[in-house]
Amino acid sequence: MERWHVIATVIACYLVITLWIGLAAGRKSTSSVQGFVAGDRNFGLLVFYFVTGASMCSAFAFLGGPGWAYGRGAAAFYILSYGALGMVPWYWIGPRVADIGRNRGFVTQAQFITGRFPSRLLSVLIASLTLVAFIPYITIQIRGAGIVIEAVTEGNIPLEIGAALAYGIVTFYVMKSGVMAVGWTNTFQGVFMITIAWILGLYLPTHFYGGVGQMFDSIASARPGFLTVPGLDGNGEPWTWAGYSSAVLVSLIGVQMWPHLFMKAFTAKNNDIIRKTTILFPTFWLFLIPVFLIGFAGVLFPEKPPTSDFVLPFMIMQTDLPPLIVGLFCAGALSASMSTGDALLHGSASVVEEDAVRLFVKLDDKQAQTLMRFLIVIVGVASYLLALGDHSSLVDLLLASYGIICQLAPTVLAAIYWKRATTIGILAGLTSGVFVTTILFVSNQLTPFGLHEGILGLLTHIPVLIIVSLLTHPQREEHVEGFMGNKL
Amino acid sequence: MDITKVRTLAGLLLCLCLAFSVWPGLVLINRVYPLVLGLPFVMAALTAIFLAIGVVLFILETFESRARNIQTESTSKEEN
Repeated sequence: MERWHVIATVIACYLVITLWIGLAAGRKSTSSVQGFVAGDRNFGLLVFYFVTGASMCSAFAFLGGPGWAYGRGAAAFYILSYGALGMVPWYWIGPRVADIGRNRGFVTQAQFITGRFPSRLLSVLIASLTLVAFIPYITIQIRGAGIVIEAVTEGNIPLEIGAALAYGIVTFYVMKSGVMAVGWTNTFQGVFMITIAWILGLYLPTHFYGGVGQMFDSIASARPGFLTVPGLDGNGEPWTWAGYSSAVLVSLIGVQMWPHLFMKAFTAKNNDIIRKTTILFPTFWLFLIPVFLIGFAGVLFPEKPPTSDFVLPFMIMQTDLPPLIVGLFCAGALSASMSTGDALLHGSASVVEEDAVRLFVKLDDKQAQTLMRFLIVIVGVASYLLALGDHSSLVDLLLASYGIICQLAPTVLAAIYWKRATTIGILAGLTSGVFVTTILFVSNQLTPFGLHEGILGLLTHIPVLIIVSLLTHPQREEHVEGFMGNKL
Repeated sequence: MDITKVRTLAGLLLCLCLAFSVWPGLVLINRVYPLVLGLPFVMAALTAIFLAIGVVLFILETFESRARNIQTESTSKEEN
């Protein structure tokens, strides 16, 4: 039996287990739209913790994290900061959003926002922004899965086949079981990827340098400045403090506004579960420490991977580890990719159906679910086809989408904390924020001090929202009270 | 301790965590040595900061849940 046969067998076993968990989970929910999209609002602490953590720690964290540490040094530490800080507002906002969702039957972010600010245009705008942000995100997850499988099977399973196999399974279980599959597979995948990350993160520095401390000593003497913030930018030049700090701020403002994470508030059994998950979240984020150690282990390695994102599979292949371990590592990386990919696929189908199509076409529960299943396949296939092409523009698009997604933060905050906000004010603020972010992203020479364009978008968005709201007719008191009156 | 004081203290500590995670606060902890558990000082400090966020929220939640229980009890007494 050749080495890659053993690796492929381990990957196959992992995929079969994931598929089984995904399909079995579907039997736990009712066959209503609420069951398919919000898991009958019945997720307990364990599943909610992993669904939050694993949905956030995507292929970007597992492959991109080591890539950042390897190529950009201390710049990678911005990821350490934004995750835990970004979850803090959720301690207050999450339970309130969940309360309102429970009382009014909301299952998506746009339903929540347009509940307070009724407007079909706003709903379609949010659904479109979600889709624009999701497609490159899913595509990168699919490509990440394909890259790993191709690398560890020494090219015997090409990217196209590997990605099709992994994401064929994801599409199938999400289509059959909805959010219950996302929740339970994320629990399994979360445990798996944390374990693999810690094993590799401690093993590689010990194997190559004799220990973690020795590794950082060697890097500090060979590359002074590499281990202090703000590190390097994408071109290997020193990054600016403004670039680093604004990246932390945009990411922490935007992180919980991603619709696939936001709408999970509607799946929690009760508010205590949301609060406890927020408190426990830093324990999940610790997983980034070994992820960075893997990347730093490659810094002084004489041979170079084809791109920095390849550093993890590259290091694995350099260590002559037994094929069983390589297979398990690959399954860990697939876990990271698939646990986010499934939440995104499910989220995009739910958003398009609930927030766009359903506003114009009357659908019963069964028709709505059939449409969502159909949309899951369409989005999955479209993202797969994009993943086969050149992905450099997609990485750029993903970075821009963070700036766009963080524009939803003032909208959500206004919905629950500002009585005087109006629908027209919200529409004006959101469109101006998205417009400025997009324009500055396209012509990035205009951004001063290397600031993230999302920050400048917010600096436009917030005053426009306030001024236009104050200039337009306030909403009815009793309508607003429904969103303000819920106790925490 | 009074819940308002706890909230204020927690808010201040969380703001401090944010201040040390970006410029200019981060400049104060931005060095490689001494290594802490083998990690560069700045990496260890940022890790400690995000773990501290969990601890602050845990303490806040302990007091908040006590305050919620008292509120629920007084509401049910009023209804009776």
